[in-house]
Amino acid sequence: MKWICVLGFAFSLFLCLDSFAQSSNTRILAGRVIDVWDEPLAGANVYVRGDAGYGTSTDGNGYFSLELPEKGDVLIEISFLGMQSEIISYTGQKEVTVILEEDSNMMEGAVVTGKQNINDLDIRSKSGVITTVDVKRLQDKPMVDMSVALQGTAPGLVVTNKGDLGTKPEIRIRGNSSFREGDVANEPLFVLDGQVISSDAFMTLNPLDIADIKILKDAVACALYGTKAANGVIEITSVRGTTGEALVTYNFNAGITTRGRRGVLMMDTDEKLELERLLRNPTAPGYLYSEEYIRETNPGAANIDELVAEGQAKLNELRKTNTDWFKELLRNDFYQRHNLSVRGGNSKTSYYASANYSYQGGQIPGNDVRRFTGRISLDQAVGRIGYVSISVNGGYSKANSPNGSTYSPTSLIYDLNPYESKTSGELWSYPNRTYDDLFYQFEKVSTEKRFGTTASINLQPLKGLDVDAVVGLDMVLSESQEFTPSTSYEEQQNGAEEIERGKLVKSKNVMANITYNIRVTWNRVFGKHDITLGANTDYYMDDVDNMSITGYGVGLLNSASAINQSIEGSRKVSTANLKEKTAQVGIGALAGYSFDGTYDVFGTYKADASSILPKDKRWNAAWAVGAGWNIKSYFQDWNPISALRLKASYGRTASLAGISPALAVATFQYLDDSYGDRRILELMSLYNDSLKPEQTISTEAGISLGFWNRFSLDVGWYNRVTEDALLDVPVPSSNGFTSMMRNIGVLSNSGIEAAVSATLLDMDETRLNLRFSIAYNENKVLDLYDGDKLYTSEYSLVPDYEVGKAYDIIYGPISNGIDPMTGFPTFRKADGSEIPATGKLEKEDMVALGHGVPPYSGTINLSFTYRNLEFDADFYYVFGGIKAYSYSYVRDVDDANKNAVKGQVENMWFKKGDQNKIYNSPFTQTASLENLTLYPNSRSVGSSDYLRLSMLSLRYRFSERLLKKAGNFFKYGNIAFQASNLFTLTRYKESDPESGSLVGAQQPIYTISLSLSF
Amino acid sequence: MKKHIISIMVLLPLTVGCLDIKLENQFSDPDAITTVDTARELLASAYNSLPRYQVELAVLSDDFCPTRFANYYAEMQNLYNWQDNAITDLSDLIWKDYYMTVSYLNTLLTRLPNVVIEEESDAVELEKVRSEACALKACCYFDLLRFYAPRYAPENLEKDAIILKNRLELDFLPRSSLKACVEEISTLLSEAASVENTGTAVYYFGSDAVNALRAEFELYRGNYGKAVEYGLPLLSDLETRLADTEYENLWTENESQERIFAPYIFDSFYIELNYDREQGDYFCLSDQVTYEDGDVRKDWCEYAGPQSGVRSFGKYNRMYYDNTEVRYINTLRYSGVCFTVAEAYARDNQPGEAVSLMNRYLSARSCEPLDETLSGDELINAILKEKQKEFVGEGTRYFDLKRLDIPLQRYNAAGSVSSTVAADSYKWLLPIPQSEYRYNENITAEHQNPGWAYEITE
Repeated sequence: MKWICVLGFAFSLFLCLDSFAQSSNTRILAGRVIDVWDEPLAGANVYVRGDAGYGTSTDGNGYFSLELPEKGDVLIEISFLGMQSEIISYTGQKEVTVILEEDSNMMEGAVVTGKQNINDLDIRSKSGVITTVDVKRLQDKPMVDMSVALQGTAPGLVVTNKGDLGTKPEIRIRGNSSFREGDVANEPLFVLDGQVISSDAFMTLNPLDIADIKILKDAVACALYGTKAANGVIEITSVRGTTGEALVTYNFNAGITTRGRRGVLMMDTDEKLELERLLRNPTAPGYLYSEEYIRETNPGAANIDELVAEGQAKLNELRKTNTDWFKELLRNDFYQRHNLSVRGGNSKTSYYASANYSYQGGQIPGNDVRRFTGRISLDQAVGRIGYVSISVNGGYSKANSPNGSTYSPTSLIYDLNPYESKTSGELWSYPNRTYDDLFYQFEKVSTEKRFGTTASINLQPLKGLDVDAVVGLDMVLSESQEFTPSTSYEEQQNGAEEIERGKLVKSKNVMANITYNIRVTWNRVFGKHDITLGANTDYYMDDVDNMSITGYGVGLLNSASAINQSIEGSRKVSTANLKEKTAQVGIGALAGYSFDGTYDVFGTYKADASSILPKDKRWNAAWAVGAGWNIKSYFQDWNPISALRLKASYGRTASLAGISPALAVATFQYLDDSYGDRRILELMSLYNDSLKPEQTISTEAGISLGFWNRFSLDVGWYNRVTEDALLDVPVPSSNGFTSMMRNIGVLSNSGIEAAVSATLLDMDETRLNLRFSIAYNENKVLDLYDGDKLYTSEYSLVPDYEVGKAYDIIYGPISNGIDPMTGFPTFRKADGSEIPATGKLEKEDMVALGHGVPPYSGTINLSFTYRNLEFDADFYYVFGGIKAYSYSYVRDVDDANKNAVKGQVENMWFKKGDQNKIYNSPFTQTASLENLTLYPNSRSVGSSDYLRLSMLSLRYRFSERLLKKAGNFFKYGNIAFQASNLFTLTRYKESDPESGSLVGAQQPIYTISLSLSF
Repeated sequence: MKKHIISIMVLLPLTVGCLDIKLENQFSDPDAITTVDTARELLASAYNSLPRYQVELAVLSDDFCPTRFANYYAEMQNLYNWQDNAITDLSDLIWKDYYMTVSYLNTLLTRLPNVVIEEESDAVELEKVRSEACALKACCYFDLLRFYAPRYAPENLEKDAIILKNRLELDFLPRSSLKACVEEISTLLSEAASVENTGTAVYYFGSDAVNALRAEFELYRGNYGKAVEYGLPLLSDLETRLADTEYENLWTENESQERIFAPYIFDSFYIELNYDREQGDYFCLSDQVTYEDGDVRKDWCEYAGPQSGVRSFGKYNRMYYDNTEVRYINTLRYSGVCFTVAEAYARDNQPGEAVSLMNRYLSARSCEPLDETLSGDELINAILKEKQKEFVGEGTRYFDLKRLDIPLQRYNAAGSVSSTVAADSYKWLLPIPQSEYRYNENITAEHQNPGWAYEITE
């Protein structure tokens, strides 16, 4: 806690300084700059006309605070790229809201940067559902991982952390649109400045380079991207240059990462030794040295008392140690980020360049992520008719992990005994091994080298006619090297000869995306009629090239060149290769019409041809229609209701996500094996020649309401139906294959998303904003083409998919607890009678225990501004779901030598008559408790609801005066305390309700940040 | 300007032609299997996928008995004790694996007509590929028949046997009758035999292998004359093929004249028997299989492993102890043909021929010859006893026990009888897997083998 005090002290110091500085008669104007859609304009210039000494720019939320000369009325100019500048006269008012309109006159040479996201048409936002992420809040979160930081930034966008630091999280917009699980079929499309990028590339972006992130949810918003966008789109716009003097900003962020939540409290030495005595397994010292064991094994020994005393002495020796392995194995580490950027330009040319370095240390030694990114963008006016923009970005990131597929040191927290220590020699929990034999067993380094470039041209050759084109390339080179040294326990024990020990797996994977998109848009206003017509053609190419090598005999050298190539047999060096290139060509048309700014109608059609499917099935379509009704326009002057707008849309998109040629036509591939002197050409899968793409049909309706410009409410309802949904379903095994990809049915995701935002306080120097959002998603199987139930395994008791039911339900029997007589768990049969542990469960005995995916999620955002002080906090919550407990830390007789959960002595059944126990008898083989191991039951699942304080930021903006005192060198500056994942409140009994793993919790990070512009 | 734009918009869709992307390491129909080489490589996938259940079948038979470590391998021990669950689990795997090979063969056989023949040698090679594919398919069907169909007897001919599948595409097929299956195998074998395929590597199914399989198949269905007819020509140079060094080479990476068909293997084989190299195996040789001193087979079937008091199993298991790689799985051997022909003679009332053939074999193995006066069941039992000694641990015995109605005793680690599997036990017919009766509407309760569960949820 010490450092919190230190931070607190540092802040109070700054506050004092500030109030001291403000004690003279300075006047301050606070305000906000927004556009006509109520979207904040970040980075708008606000300055006193004719006196550049008084100026500032708006923050990410469009807010500014401007210090003014002590006396006199002045004119204040507010300017923003692509917007008409606004001049207001200052007469001492404390606050102002400035609405900037788009500069329709850009032909006359006003500065507009090029627009690279050329699918980002204004007209689509009038009827489509597009949520803008508050990028400033995203930037305030000290987290190295961009995609995890995206959690809670938009209702309906669900980001779930899946493991330790550096692991890609699961990102979904409005749930899974397919029966198929996994990213390939359900991940949204990522578009950076008009260029499709992979989710891996997105993960490594520098948040400070991002100006804007839009989440496109419904068919109207997504249809411009065609069949690639069936799962929604995340559209990212990067920061570009400005007009005016070059502004150099240095941003520094440093702090500590901590261990995080301790989910399961393990035993201390006394309890553990007592448990061992009760479990009666002599591989554990608590029984081996116990009096009863010694007496039992040495009947009639003359020196029995001596032996007993010896045992007691050994136990007493063990009692001297009491290691808390959670503290011992997990660590506090560091977080730091340096970011340097330059932006500037004139009316013809503007530029932006940045460089960034970030480091985040994970909870386990050996787990960390470091990243270096750079970005340059340039916008150049082309005569009077348009702009050319070029941006280049690159990055290098490296993640280390000690967790391998067969080996995880993090699980040791739950295995090592409290009476063991790092230096205690041979371990009871791992016989024949010492602590050092457990560590340095495995090493994995993964690096990602990213390079992307985008060139675009935006022309307006004739009034009302826009021609836009963008071409881009995104490449990610992912490399990983996994090394198991010859000295590792695994290598020592597996029987390989000395010279064949030491394993190395090295892989390289190059992903390249090439995009081009050419769009022509024509817009004309005739009186009250506003007509837009457009057409485009685009091309997306994806190329994945993977090469890996697995070899042995490297000894202690972590290098592929150390592989012993003379080894034959199962440890022979082997290579694997995957190369898959797919492309898609599309043409699209759109039409929009607005009447009097009140009614909007928009329609779009896009046909895409993909190389994935055979020629006759190649073309697939995506189309959508939408309408908007701005009711507010009927009572423009009635203030209580400041906004009222209705939207509705309907669309249909084919989706090829997760389909590969091998699924639709007989496809063969060489194995990295041989048969005698021949290569082996193997059929890849049981193909389905009648395979069709999934069809996603979305319907959407929404309302936006505003009251007195202080409260706003957005509510949207959606229903997304997926027809011809694909799933790898089991087939009779006499077909030689056990499964086949088939179009099996219809599913739906429907839900409601709501956001309320309120300005609770809006006084001279104080503003308080509160935003609350909630999203509810319900999934359901609407139809199955073969019957009304589908079992994905021939052994499952409960169908995995059943018409009319949700498909994320976890089923299991109701537990009646532990039978006091047998010590076995018993379950409730459907007719109310009792099933013993060894009895057979029937389908009827299974009940729905709850949703595996929490249906509700949302955020609470709080912003408080007082003078130059800003306070922001974000909470993220999910509820309504359950997760099964692993219970791997409850020990039975066989693993008595590993540490156990605190309270097991109390809560375990040991002898006949033990009442109200939680854990079943330890004296049994798990095979006889199939019911317990195969299915979760009502007592082995817990609610996965949680509330997390995901971000906290307290920022102080240096006042003009303070900056002047510093020699007029700095233009702006601020200092902040920022923290992420501070705490998680949950009823879930294991460590992490989000990832469900004992060790995958997001770690808290506390930092101090300093940002200076000059 | 507008003109240009329109022409761009019109031209671009024409680039759709660029969507015919050939994948670098994947080959799709219709041009995937068009050369003899690719056909041969596809056949290699079928060879490579041949199921390997030698350990499990040996454990099910009376070749082995449990050691004190058997407790540590519950599944294998349950299998030894013929527990329903264990047999059901094994049956699922066997069914799936054999049909996987069948599906690869169907894929190949239906694509052979598309293979382009450029030279005469291509045509010859293509015929060999076809012959081998037919023989392998017959081999799979024959094994499946012996697992899932009732014993070959006139009263069983119309009973359900196995599913006959002739194409790769998804099917929901019923079980065919035993008669239909036997006919299908017979057809496949004659098709295979119609091609001269000699001098190929031992891991390909050549003409000798086809004839060996035919002999075994004819013995199975009681055509003893045919069995002799197909088998006898293979035994002309039996003495050279059964020489001591050839026998020893069976259990090495070296070539051996005794092999007829031995699939090539790249990964590990027969490692399931071993508990720990330092401590011993889960199962050891049963007392039923003993060797006289001087018997050539003794050295390679018994192994002085780390476990005292038991006779550890040698062969592949010994290779595992010795860290010798297994490259060939000795599936068809000339000694096997010898037993097939001898049994066919004996059953065909030619005991003299049977005994003299057996004695040729026994002398090659340095064993006492059989009494020349032996005949009838005594002779057959003597042949079977030697056959078990020859093929111990290789799974052959399981099929003989089943074919000949021999009951089976199960022992515990202490050596006393723990249970008995009667000759008429329902367990001799493996259960049709759950994946069939859950997902195939043509396999209903009446199609499950008698005695086995047919549990389906709706």
